Amino acid sequence: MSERTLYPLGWVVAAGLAALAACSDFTGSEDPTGGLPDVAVAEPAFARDVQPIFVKRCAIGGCHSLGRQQAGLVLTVDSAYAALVDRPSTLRPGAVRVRPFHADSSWLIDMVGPDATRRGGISRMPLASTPLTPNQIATLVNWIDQGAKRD
Amino acid sequence: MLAATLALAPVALAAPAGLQSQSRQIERYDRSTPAGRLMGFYSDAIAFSPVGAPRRYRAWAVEAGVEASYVPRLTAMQRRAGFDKPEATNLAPVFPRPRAMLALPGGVTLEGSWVPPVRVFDVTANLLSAAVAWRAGHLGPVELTPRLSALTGRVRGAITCNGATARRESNDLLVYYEAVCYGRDSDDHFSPRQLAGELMATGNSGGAFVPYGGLGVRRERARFDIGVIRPDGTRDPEHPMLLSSATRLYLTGGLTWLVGVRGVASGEVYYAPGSLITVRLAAGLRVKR
Repeated sequence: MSERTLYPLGWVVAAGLAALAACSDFTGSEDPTGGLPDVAVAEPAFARDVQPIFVKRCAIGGCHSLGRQQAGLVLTVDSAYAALVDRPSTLRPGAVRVRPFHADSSWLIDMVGPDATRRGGISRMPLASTPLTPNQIATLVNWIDQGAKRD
Repeated sequence: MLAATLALAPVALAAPAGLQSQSRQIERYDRSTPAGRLMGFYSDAIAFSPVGAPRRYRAWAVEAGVEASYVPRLTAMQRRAGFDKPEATNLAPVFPRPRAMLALPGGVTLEGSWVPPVRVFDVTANLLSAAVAWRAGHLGPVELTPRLSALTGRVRGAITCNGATARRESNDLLVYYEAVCYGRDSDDHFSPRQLAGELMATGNSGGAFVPYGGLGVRRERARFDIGVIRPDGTRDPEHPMLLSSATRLYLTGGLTWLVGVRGVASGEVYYAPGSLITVRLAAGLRVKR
């Protein structure tokens, strides 16, 4: 085999090696808080601690915004409280979205929580996205268990 | 093709700003954010780098060829723009591009490329690129060539809502596809605008192989227009437009093989720190000596 016929082979090998070395040079990362402080608020206020979670993670385009109202639920600033507290779920008959003083029987907590059996086959929210952090869920639980006040 | 490319350049550079809708929410992301990094990765994947050593040409020589860039696959975590679901960005493993070069008197070369809006893999790109380089002199045996380049245009694909990806990856994604995407593939538009300057150094071996390397800086602005399609066929205005701007360094290094009198083949490694390392191959033919 002459030197000239080896040239193309060498190029193919070199290209193959270079392609193997090709890769991205960044690591993926998540920002599940949406820029909010990731803390479990012991005595949460709705406007200060709860509503921002809905705004950042739920009331976004295509989801629980005024325009889309997925599952008949709007979680924007003006609508979230009235849409949640003592309101029936449209996904599970008999369930209440937020039952004041009873986070353990509030459908909201089942929908964002890690226990799939409590949702009965319905996808966790936020759908297909990074889950709410345990601290965010704890904030929601504390707010409900303290009466789900509109403060 | 080169003449058409250069004639269209000012029009295309002006186009994206004029196309912006006023009613859409605009979200800005810098390169420290997942969305910014994702847009930066694809800006680098299509950058108009030299892919070939600067060479001496007779004035008015014309060379035409093709280039192919490898686009590395991204993991699901890398494809997340923040807390959102993984986006379907692994649509094309290779980005092909035609290229043409015109040599001017005085050691100046003009390069141009137009990727016509033809669907390749699952992507339809319509990108215009141009570059000018000129021989600046020697530093010992090394020839120095500054090069300025620009790129603009649009890449279309089903990135936000992709039924095939949703069916393959998870049931939750499929639910998302049906509920948020109206069960339709999206028509997302990725619109990069780039202006780059680099200094290339070419080894003067006098043989058939010419090594080269370069260091460049690029100013880029990318826009991602989320194109969720409603049942009536219109774009859903609920979804925002994402903007990302950055100034970034990049490195190139490669080898050009002079094949006979008219042919040329080149391989290049392109490295943009914090974004990607990839390989580009190009082959060309001098059509006018």
